[in-house]
Amino acid sequence: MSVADRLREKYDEWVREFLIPTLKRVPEWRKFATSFGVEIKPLYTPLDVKGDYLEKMGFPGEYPFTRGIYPTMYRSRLWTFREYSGFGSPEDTNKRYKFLISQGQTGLSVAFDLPTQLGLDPDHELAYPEVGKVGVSVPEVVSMSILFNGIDISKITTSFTINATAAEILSMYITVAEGVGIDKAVLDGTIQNDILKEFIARNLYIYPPLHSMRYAVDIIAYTSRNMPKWHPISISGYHFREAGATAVQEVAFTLADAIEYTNWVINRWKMGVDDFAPGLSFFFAATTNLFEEVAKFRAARRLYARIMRERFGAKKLESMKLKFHVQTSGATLTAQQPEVNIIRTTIQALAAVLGGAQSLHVNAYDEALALPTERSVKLALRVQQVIAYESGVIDSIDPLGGSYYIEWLTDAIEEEVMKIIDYVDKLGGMTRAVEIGYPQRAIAESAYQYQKMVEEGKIAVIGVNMFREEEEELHIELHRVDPVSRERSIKRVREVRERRDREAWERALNDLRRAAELEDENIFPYILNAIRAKATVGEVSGVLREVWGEYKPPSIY
Amino acid sequence: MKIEELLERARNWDKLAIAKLITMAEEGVEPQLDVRRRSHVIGITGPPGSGKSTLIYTMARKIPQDKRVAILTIDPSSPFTGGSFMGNRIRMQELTSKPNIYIRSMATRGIRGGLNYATVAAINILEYAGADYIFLETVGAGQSDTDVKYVADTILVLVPPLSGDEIQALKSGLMEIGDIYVVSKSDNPASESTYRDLMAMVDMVREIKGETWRPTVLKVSGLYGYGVDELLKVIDDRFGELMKNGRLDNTLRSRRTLEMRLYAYDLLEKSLNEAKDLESKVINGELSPRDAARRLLNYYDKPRLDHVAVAIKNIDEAARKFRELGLRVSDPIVVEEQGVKVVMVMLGNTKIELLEPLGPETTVAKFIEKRVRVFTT
Amino acid sequence: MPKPKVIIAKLGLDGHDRGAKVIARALAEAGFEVVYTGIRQTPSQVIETAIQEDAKLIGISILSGSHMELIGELMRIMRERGVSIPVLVGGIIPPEDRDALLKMGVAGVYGPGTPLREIIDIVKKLTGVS
Repeated sequence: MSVADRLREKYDEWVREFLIPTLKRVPEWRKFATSFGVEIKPLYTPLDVKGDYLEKMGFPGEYPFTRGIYPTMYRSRLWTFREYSGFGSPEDTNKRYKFLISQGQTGLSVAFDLPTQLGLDPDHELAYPEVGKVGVSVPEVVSMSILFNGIDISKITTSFTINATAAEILSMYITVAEGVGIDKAVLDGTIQNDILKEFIARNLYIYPPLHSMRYAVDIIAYTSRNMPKWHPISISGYHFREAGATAVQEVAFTLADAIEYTNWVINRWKMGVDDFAPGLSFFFAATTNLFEEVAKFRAARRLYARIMRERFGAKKLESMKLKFHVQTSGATLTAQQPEVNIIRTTIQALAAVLGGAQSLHVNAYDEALALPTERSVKLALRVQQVIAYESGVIDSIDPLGGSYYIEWLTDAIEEEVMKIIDYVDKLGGMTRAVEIGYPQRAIAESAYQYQKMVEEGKIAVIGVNMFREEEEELHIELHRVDPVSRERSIKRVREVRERRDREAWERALNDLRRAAELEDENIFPYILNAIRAKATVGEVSGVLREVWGEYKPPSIY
Repeated sequence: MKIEELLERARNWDKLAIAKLITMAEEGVEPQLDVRRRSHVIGITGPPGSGKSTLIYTMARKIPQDKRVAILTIDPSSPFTGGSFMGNRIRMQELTSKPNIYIRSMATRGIRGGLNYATVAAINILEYAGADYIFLETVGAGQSDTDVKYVADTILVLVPPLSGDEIQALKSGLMEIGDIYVVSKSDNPASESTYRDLMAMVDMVREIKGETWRPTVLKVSGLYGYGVDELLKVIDDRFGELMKNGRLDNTLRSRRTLEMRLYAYDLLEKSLNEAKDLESKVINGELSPRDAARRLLNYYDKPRLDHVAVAIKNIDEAARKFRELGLRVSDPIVVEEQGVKVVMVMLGNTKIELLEPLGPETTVAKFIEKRVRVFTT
Repeated sequence: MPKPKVIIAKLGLDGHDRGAKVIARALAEAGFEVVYTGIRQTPSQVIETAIQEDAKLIGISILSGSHMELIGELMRIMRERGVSIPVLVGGIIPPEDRDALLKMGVAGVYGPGTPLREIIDIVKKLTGVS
């Protein structure tokens, strides 16, 4: 009898003689299933792990990267501690950045306000109530220079959560760097520039899908040639998860987006996959479901490596490595008993680290109520530091690899993800799928089912549907955006408009308009040129709106 | 606000008044409306996801501001809860604040899942309010697509880029009713072959039907705005032609009969909901399902006894006596031309008509003289 | 007879529509006819929609922190146009703003973690459905 047969026999015996009789006496107190609806067995054994170790797992830094993308992982270099932050005017945010750096943060991550993200200047009628609210107002290049005042941007890596106006923001950053004598080629950082996920979940889009894709892809082509260290896109699943997607949908739609962008760059710019794929980066969520999240990251890494090598014929290992940032899930935070959120985010951050993330943001405990205070964001940073320096989870690479449960879960996620990717292929890729609203509908459905399960008590939320305190009193101090910052922002954008060289500005915008009309032109250099001529974000996207129109989303039921 | 005031205000395109009138129509009130002129009612149909709302948005935006545009968009009601998630406005919200545009979401409501009488009533109200264009967006499936041809002057069928097989499948339902076929999403490379397939099909239908209007096929992208000007021109041409050969009245007539039929369906549904006693008889086997259905529709009472007329000398006295018996008795009415005073006595499924002659020379007085008295008073 | 028509709208530039969509769907399943406007609505667009739809209630979702400005504007235009329809507000609303919103005439303010049941009940109450 083979080893496997003997194990099978012993396992069946255990189920028959131990498990079933015990269950009759002490039945399970609930059903156990993954977030994507697959039943979880009481125990996993080598019988559940199929396939060859070398083929499926291999070694860190080697294809298919299941165990990690670097041979040494956190033993040589920790992940980047990167708290997403921004509010009010650039002066306010600059102060917060310096505070975070003084507390041990190792990378910056800029949150912009809604007007900046949607290409509206702060004195626009629709912008006014929103200036400086969910992020910092940066409508022109002077504001950008204030934002990084006193920070050496040739040393620190900065991530910009910016999409529909990504080119304008990157252009401002380049212009500020050049102003202090730093060549753009040495700049290191990321712009999110993932417009597909805006259409699917985050909703901060401006132009229709085809024009938006051109815009995004033109940036990728430009930085791949001119800014070798820059990540021109952070393909994001985070927002799918926050909008209600399951772990499987999160990975599937993210990878389907990656396929779409890759196809676009190849078709539009006739570039080889290895010429730009090393610059692609990713962004996922981490919920409190620890093992499922770890398995999710491992499955995503393996799937991406396969897609890049087998589907696109990538040769360079760098093109196959899934480099990703993680943010703990904002949707899991509760307004009730907010201090409990610190416990949630700790487990979530642990999932990211055990899953091999390159960069991490931990949410502050008060974010279901307002933007974080200095105190709450410091605590969030401390969560990362405790995990990194005290817990010992970084001592060995991929410490959960080889757990029968984790390996089974990794395979299960991979299998379910592939079903969705195949379906998107049938629809003709993600741009088409988005136009007919397929991923939007799928996520809305998951969100509704999730909420119903919370209502029915099938999903536990401590403080909300379990251990709820009626008449709860809040004892925490909340962040307030200084109302003066809005006026400061408006005043500055008006000054910039008055003081610039009118002729150069006008010429730059006219050139931009012509380039937008010509389909074969790379739009990015024209935007860079306009920003250098002190055009505002509202003026640049105003020109593009005129030429390309604005997107109206399909109805989602 | 009184209905007269609402009607007055609706004439001036007061959207609040129009909205209230439509709600009243939904609740069963039937206002008397005189139609001074015809609106061009354009039914927009096509499978879900073919881009109907986006196309309406793009068209409505391009119609000159001095034209009144109404958009009725139909969403399905849940057969279980009666509720409806109405999301078609999402794409049109930018039009909401334009003075010349009125948008209303309506649910299918009821058993059929197609148009309901309130939709037709809403069209009547909007026409009364002076709409130049009324766009009617159907749910894009089933019954509503066949109903729409009775209310719309022009039917625009949207066809997304499809494979040859899919077009064949679609042909059965939609291909007979269209006046204008639009290949939507013309930015999609697959739209070219769909366009060619449709052209061939329309040519065939054209020969069979032998109508004056030649169904047109156009390629349009609502999302990217291609081909919309051309489409609007075709729509206006079509209206001109309908006016010229007097065919606009045809839809007015069929609209009225459709409203009758749809209202009848609604009444039927209401009586079905109220027929709990019949239902329990079916359940416990007293009645067969078909017998119960016939009874619900009064099949067995046909020809039915409507009333028995009884001539009488003192009607007020007789009415008092019937009332004392616990019966419902109407107030007396005088019918001058027949020379009688009339009172109705209700007897469940039939009635007694009491007639008192107004003078000795009337037919009824003479009749009484000749015959035995039925009731002694 | 279906229950009255209600509007669910996202006011301002905020794109977080998960909550609005879940609430809209829950109300539809509770028998209401729910008009969902989608994102990026202005106060006047929302009121215009409520008028054209003859809605009996307006539900607003805001997570961007601009609720004071936007709801203030919404209530002002409603008064100006002589429209009186109950308004409910949901989203990320700090506790002290809650009272200020109620003072403006909002009929209720609901934060994260509010059970759907509670929302359906208040909507029924405000629209006169027993």
